[in-house]
Amino acid sequence: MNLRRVFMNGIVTENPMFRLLLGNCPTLAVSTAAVNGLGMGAGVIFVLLGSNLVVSLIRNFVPDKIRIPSYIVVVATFVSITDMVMAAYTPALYSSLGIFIPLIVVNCIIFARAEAFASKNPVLPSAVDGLGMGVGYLLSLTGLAAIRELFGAGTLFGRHLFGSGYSPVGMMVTPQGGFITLALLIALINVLSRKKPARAVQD
Amino acid sequence: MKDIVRLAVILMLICAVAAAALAGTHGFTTKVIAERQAEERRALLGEFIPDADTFEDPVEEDGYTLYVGKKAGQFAGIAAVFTEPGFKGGIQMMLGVNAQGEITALKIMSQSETPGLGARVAEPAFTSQYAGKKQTDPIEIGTDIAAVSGATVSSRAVTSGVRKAVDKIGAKYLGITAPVEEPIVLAEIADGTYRGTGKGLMGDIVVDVTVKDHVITEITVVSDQETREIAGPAKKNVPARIIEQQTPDVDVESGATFASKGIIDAVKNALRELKQ
Repeated sequence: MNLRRVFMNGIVTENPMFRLLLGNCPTLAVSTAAVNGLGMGAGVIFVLLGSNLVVSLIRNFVPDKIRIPSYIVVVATFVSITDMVMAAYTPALYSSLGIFIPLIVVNCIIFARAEAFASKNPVLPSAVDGLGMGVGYLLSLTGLAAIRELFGAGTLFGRHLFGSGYSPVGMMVTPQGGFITLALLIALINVLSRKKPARAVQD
Repeated sequence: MKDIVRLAVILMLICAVAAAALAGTHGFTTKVIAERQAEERRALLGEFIPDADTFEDPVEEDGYTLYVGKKAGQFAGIAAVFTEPGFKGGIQMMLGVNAQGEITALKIMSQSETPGLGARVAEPAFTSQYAGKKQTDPIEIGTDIAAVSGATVSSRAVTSGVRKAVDKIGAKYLGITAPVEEPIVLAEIADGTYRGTGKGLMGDIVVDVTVKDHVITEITVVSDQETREIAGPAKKNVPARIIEQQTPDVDVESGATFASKGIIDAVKNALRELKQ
């Protein structure tokens, strides 16, 4: 199995946000400032990596009948650890992400990867898959959040870019602005990747 | 049956490992989290009680959250968080008072007043007026506090919240009691018509109160600057209520609180002044 391909799969081919459309609820909620995207992305990378690793490790030990509750326990454990560590060491980020840290538990990306990949593959590829998916989520979430922050507040990572004359587009930081931006980005990516199948044939 | 037991044992094992991992993390993060919270509180309260070096746990009382600050075990000041109804919703504020009874700082923590008008009560230009005021100061819009222009109601709400909080803190922690309002005893009032003035929303309200055989028989609003459509019911119903109940302490007219209070104050002033 080509590890590089597994890694890139999460970032490009099966990007969780733009391709699989997974985990959109927290995505829309926290992507109002680029720094939130980084923080949430880091949390998701940690949880995905940890849960994929453990799920893959125990995949032959856990009977099929109880795999769902077992995976939930694994994912919830990693999320709780993330929650406690963030509360302790990054309090500002913790308060701005709020309820969405515990809600990583129900972020479908994590569960989807545990079920679709980690439970069927050896430890190393599973870890790489978790890392790839996590990085893909972080990049796309931060990108989306940066666009919303730029127009919605006139800042990028908290730094003012447009000067004091800029009047922010308030809608961009509201949920509807999030939906519109996400939809436009997905449309853009669909247009850009339309040629891809042809290239795949040539390969 | 055997299968169920096997499945349960496996799931239990997984949960046990997870619990151990969580307990471990909890063990080393709780201390850090507690320290962070204490630090945050210190940073926040330091602004309101600059003299204190330690802060006690908050006490909840009558809608006030009170933080006592101490220096070397001695009372060094107090910070109070409370909410006062504003123009649109509750205005939550935090007030600091030092051991000498002076206001150290006032901050609007949250409000939903009209942006550009009432919301400007949160600006330092308005809130800084309170610093240095004492319980014995009037702390009144138009006297020692300038209202935000166009936002009288919001400004008054903040001021009355501060006034009440200062009285409360003074009584509870500094041993100062607010002067008790002298009761109006109709039996001591001679027959006659008395004129009094109270403050409405837009300006002074002047009333004439007629007392006959120690009974309030008539109240006329002589002049006022209130909005007619709004204050109309208050001008009609509040005097009627006072006459009916024979006391100025009656309910205000809903929708015209300030006009009603102005009329009530005017009546009280009319009946009080004649005694002097």
